[in-house]
Amino acid sequence: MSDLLLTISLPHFLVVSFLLLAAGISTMLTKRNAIGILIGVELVLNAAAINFVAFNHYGWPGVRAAPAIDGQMFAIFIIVLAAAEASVALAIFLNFYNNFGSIDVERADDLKA
Amino acid sequence: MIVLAQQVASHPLSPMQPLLFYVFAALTVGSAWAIVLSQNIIRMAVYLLTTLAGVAAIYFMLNAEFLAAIQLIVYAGGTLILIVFGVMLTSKNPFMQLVTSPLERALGLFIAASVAVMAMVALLNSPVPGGAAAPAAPAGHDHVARIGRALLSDYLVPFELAAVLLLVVMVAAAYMARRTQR
Amino acid sequence: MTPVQAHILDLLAAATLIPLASALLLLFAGKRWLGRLSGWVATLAMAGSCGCALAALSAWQDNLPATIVFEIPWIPVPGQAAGYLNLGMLVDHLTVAMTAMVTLIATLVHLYSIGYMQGDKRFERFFAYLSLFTFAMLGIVVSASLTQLFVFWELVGLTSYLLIGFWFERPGPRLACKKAFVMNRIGDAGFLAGLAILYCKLGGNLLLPAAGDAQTPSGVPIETIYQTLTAILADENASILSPPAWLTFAGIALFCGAIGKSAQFPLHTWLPDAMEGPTPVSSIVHSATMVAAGVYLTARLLPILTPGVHLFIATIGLVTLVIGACMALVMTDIKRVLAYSTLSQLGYMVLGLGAGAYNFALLHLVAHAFFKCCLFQCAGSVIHAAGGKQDLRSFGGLWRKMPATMACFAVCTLAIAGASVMGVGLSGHYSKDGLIACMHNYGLALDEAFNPGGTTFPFAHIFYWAPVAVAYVTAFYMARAFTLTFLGSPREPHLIEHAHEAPLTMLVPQGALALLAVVATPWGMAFWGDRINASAMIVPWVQGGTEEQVGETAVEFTHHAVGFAWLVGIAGGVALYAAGTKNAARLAKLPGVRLLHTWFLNKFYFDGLYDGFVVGLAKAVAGLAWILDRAVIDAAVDALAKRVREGAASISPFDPDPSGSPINSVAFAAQAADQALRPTHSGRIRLYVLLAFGSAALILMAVLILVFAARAAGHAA
Repeated sequence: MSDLLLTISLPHFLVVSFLLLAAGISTMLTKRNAIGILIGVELVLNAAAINFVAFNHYGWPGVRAAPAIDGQMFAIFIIVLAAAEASVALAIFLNFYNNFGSIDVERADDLKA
Repeated sequence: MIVLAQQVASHPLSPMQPLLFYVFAALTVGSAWAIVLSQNIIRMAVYLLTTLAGVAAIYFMLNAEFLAAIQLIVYAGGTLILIVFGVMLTSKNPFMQLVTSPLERALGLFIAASVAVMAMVALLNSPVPGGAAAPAAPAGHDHVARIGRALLSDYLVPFELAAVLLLVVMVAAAYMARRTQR
Repeated sequence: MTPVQAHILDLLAAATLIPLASALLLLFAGKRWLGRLSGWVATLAMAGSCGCALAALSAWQDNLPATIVFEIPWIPVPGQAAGYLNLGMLVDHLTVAMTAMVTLIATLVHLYSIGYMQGDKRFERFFAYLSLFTFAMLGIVVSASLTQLFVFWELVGLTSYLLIGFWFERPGPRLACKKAFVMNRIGDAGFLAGLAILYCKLGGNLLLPAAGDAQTPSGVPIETIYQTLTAILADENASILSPPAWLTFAGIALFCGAIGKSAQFPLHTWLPDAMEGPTPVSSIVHSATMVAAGVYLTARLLPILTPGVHLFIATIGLVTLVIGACMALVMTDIKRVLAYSTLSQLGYMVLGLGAGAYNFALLHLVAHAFFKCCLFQCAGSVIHAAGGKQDLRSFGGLWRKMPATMACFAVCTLAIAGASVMGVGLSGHYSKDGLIACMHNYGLALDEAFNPGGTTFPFAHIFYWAPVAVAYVTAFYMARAFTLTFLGSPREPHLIEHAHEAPLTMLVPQGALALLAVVATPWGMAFWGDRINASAMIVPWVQGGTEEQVGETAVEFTHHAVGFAWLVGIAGGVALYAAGTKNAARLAKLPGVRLLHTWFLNKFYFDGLYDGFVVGLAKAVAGLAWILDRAVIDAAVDALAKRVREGAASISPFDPDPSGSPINSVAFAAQAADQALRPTHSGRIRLYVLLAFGSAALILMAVLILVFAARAAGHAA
């Protein structure tokens, strides 16, 4: 047991990533503020990036050796995409706010069937 | 006291690394869940900042120094500022609250918890190298140089695509967020 | 490990960590559970820390070697022998004395703050920041290595930012804390550069040079930066006295950090502005913690600084000394007078360090910490009594209302002026006069160094005569502040009407500090006196560090030169200002004086210079960029766009008739699909998220069940 606690390895990082993912999902599901939802998306992206980097660092028996670089590359692209996504999302929110005077996603249903 | 600190620190298995890991993991996960529980959008943004910084620290522990720096510069420094700007521009009262019903919150927590629990179950039943220590970084390893080389060789196409994407996004965001003449 | 050393190490570790614990407690539990009690909690914690530090001080014996514990792994570094950059503690006489001084003053400032911050809406948070600030300073003092020191150095910068900007609702503190932060960053950039040079040249274990030879607690000798450096230089056929350029550069870069923190010229402008913080903050920033950090760093690094760096340090100190005193002469805000006085006194310390008067500079640091802290607390009491008014011109006649505060202020004025009768004096006398005596020889040595053989170089003697002159000026401006505040008749009677003596929580620390200002020096003399030889050993090449080296002549000469400076200065100040500012105003109209007066009053135009130059430069660059953008980039983009439009227009005639084309049939199909799928679009974004992650959970569950089923089947088979 003490070994499990004192030797940090892959599962520790994976657990952090799962908890971050869960926090992101619940943020997305419980916020009515559009920017809150965006924050939830950022959390989920970070969870995924931690997974990539952790697997990159420790490798996976029989699949690939450690240390490698590919996981880090994926994480870099995740960060790039997150930045792009955030800027577009915020532009949309600004437009939304200008049209509706609020940023409550419940009110964004003009396009529904 | 000093002696005790030395003994703890010089334990063969634990040169400070586990302690730091737990501190940063607690910081990351704690502030992520603070986002979930908070109702104030400004607070959420601040908690997101600590989460992102914690993730950067975790990258450091995974020997991904370059990524950690990128995380701090681009994510904490850029994306987060963008979000705060969004908050400021889209609310007449920055402390406004949009509250969801308890039922919805319970449902959200349930879904999130079930995903996390199932992921953990999968993890516990996987042949993950459980007790294996982190492979030592090879002497003279230089992630920045390797990343730079990879970006311009193996990952050249994604790299260029990302560049184009960023350009498109920039134009699109500027177009959409412009002040319309009415 | 000898028991005494282990004991001292434990005591100092406890003294350092207790303020951190109390800061964390107040930060997280202060508002909710402790409330008004948090001031007392923080004060008691500091008192406990102070008790530990004083116990360590009394346990310290002069023959103990410097002890370094350096075994707590911190950052994994591939190139390191141990594989880690370590954390640790360094204990020698300097550490022990500094810890005692810092905790003592911090305790009294905490106590004072209980009275001063009464009723503030962020009462608890103030104490949390104050304790954190003290912790950061203690961290600097006990750090074993330069890298570790840098961490605490930055923490001091951060907490000072929080404290100076504590009343951030007002614009003044907001600007002041930003300014302090930026000025410190400029200095710290230098520190970082110096650190990087040393790290590259010497490797990661940059153990701070201790007095004498250092050893681990178990008695094994340990190599500090000084030994490593001398060994490396010996390989290059160089030494610290005839150094390679990188060493001089590293020394100057490291000293830049001290310039920022100790508010030396040219980064001094933040210190007076830091007056915008609450007065207890000023009293601790100006005495024991932040400004002391720079002096401490310089004193620590003195053995590895080259002669060129020493001259640089002395010059910076000299300039700061003079301009600080000049500006203190004309300020009308009581706290600003004290702030510029601090600047000038710091100039004394830095000048002394540059000239190698290690003992007296550090003695002056301790002595100054006590009396300046007391002066600020008295000023705080006066401001409190006068309902927030800080202008010297509107005080006067306060002695009747606040006799105890006046007594403390008077004692400290005498202490800073260096009052002495028949060779027995207050703290400032020993430290400052001793320092000036050392400067006498430094002037001679410089004269000789610049002119080997014969002709004198009179400019070198400015290093002696400027401090002597400033000693008179110091007594004068302090007498001015004292007279205008307490003596004479009230100039604005309505202010004085409501004045009252400060509450006991503020009076007690004031009195204690005044007492310390009286007794600190004999105590300091006894403590430092025995270490004089040790300091000669760690700084072997600099002139005039010890009393023996100072020599009879210099001491005699200095006695004549500044022995009665305090009397002359104070008499002059009282005489000129006893009847208010009328006489001084008349004096300031005289032709020559007027020019100087304007210069001093405008702080030598430093702020204007920085604003004009730096901001102007930034604006010029921005303008250039704008022109570039318009003339080059925009033009290119416009031309490109025009070309594309022409191209588009030229191919449009070839576009086929749209009806019935394959493209349209795809569109129709999409439309049909859209019609079929429309009902699922409720427009509720969180429902989409719920569906997405709900189905993800279901799929995950299905996979798990399949895997477990397969595994169970495998076991069964």
